[in-house]
Amino acid sequence: MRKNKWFAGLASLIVLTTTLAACSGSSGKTETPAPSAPSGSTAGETGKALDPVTLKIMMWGNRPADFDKVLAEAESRMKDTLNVKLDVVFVPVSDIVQKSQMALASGEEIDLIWDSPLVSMNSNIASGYYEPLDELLAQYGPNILATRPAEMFEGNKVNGKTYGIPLGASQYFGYTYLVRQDIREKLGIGPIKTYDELVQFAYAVKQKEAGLVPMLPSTSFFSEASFRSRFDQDTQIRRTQAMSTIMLYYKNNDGIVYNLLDEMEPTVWDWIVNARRMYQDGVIHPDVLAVKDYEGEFSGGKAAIIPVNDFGVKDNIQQALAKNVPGSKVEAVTFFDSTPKKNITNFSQWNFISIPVTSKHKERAIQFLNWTQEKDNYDLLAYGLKGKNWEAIGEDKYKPLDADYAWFPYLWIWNPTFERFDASQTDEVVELNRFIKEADNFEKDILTGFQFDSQPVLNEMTKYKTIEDKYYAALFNGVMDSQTGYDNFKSEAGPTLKKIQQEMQKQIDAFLKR
Amino acid sequence: MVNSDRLFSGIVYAFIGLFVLFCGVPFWMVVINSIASESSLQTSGYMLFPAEFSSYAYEYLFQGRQLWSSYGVTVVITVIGTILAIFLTSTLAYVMAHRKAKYGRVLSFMTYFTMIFGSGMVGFYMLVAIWLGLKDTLWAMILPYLINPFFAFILVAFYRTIPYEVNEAAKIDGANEIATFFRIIWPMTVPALATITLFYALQYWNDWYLAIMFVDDYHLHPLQIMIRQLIANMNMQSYLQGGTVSFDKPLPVKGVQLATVCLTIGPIVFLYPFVQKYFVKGLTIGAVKG
Repeated sequence: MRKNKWFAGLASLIVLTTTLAACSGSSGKTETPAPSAPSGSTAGETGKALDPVTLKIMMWGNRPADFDKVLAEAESRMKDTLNVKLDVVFVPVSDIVQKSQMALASGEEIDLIWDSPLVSMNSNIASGYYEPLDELLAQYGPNILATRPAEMFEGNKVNGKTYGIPLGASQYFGYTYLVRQDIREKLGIGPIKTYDELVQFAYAVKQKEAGLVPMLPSTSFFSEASFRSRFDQDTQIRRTQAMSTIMLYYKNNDGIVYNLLDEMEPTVWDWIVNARRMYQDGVIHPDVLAVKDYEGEFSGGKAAIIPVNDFGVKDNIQQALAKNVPGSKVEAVTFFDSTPKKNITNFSQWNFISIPVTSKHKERAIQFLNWTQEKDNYDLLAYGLKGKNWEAIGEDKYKPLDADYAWFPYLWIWNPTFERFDASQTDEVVELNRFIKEADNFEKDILTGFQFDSQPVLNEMTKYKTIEDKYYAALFNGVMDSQTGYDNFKSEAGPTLKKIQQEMQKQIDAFLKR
Repeated sequence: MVNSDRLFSGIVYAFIGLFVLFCGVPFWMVVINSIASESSLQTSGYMLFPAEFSSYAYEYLFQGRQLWSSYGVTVVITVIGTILAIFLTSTLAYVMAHRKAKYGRVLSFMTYFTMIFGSGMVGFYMLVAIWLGLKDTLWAMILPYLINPFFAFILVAFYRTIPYEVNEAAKIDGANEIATFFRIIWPMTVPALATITLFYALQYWNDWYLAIMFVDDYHLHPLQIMIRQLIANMNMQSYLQGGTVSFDKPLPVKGVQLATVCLTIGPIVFLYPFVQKYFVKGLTIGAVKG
């Protein structure tokens, strides 16, 4: 009996030490690269193939019909150099969080994984699931570094380290109102240049187009009054890292967190009052809070104006609308001021590709990504087979030829250098997209690289979010009376938001001191 | 008297009729709108009689090979899984219910224990994916559901209603335990087994969770995953502007959702009437006399 106990104790000790050893082993470098350490092109010259390795890559989305053909082409291009085979797993977007959490927590071997701060990236980093990439990038990823401005890396570091390669083709997020061009022309109104003209158009629609809702905003940030902050060129009111709304906000470039419940910003108040007026006048959709698929309503021909991300008109909306309402046309209206250095950005990105610490092929994974950051290879993986899936228009545009290779570089390789513009977009839109690619066109936020750690105020965040969900969209779309709505919001959420603000300011001050 | 009887049955019929309507209308809406054209869905929403019909949603679903392979996977899992599960659950329950089985109580406790305490997700995942190495196999979608403690206890309760004298009679006639179980007890418990079969079959048919967790290889995706993938990502692509998803026609987003509902409920819905004839009670009446 006693012996057994000793034996059990010894056994568990052995198990424990081996697990620990395994952990430390996997976080170190387990794959010793070939001494010649080829990085893409140089390997091609020496023509010396590495040992074959299969990289497992996890991302979300649909497997495009031609994906296997594109992979075969990519693998044959790499055959004599990197010798990488790819096992790409596409997870339904509704399950990516749970699936990736499970895989990471159980230590399953994955070599590259998509993640985003909007999903679970920060908590995954905090749990130590991701490998810091700075050294690997310096050694094996010259192309990865060269295809992105240094600010893109700097703005997305966590605790001073790069845990994921930022995927993005712009340094600033463009926003647009989609407007029914055919209705505008029918009413004899000229091209819309300012917000006031947009409102005039909306009122004209209200008067003369029965059955068409002039304006259909969405909820949260896409509420009418908060969406306008994207065109606030003078004070640069913008969201913080803590939440997706502007209840806490930055202004100018002073490193201070402002709080709308603490002190109402006059500009924002004007926006809210304006939204209330438009709602009461029936210009904003009466059921704005209940409409779920607001883009669908627009493409069904039921609304004249909606706010959306990005510059330009989305293809699918244009096509759906043309089919649903014959003769209709959509135009993109943005009030973005493309004067260099006028807008402030912190270069944060939404998509990243990371290497889990459990990967046994970390060097090769970076070498592979480095290989994708060459123009020909990027074109292959981003757009598919040239001549079949797409054709090049000029130097930096493309035109898709079929639907068998849907565009998804934002999940693994997206960069501002090689990304092509959609040739169907107007010249103005292409110009805007070209403008936001360049880091030098923007004023650098002094909080670039700051990440908010919400752990100390987690309870407050949850509590606040519940209250905000009750008020925000209703207040910012003018559904509830501005003054009473604001007062109620303030009395319920004021102290909680204040705590979050104070914690955030504390972290910012510490960041700025560094 | 007769009049009030008529009135009563009239009210009952009206009530049941109304109830049928309540259940039937949503079902009708799904079926009829799955063949409505996408633009009529988008412009006028779901209607009892859509203005314009189109089979594009079904064409879109049938165009790939995925639907067929997924159907195959789901059918294989459901058939094999249900057969194995019924076999294991009924034998386990029999031992737990048996008066003279030596470890019946221990087994009961162990089964009951798992109903209350779970190992948590990560432990479960590690067991199946890493230690048993079942990732990307059909077994990963079959084995975890083989014994459902709750169903086992339903069977235990049912076995207990069978008089033990039946066992004794069988023994006297020279049947061993296996023969007793399969030739005497099993036929007497058909109603309960039919119910459990239906439960297991539905569980296997509708499961997407195990597949999401353990199957990365899209060739092995069952029907439910395919649908989940399709619907989730179509919405996502139109939201994220997957560049250029569609060309001459916009994607039939809404139509596909309805069409997939119709396609997936198809075969399994026929299991109900088939199993229903076994939902009868009183088979044991008269088994023991005196």
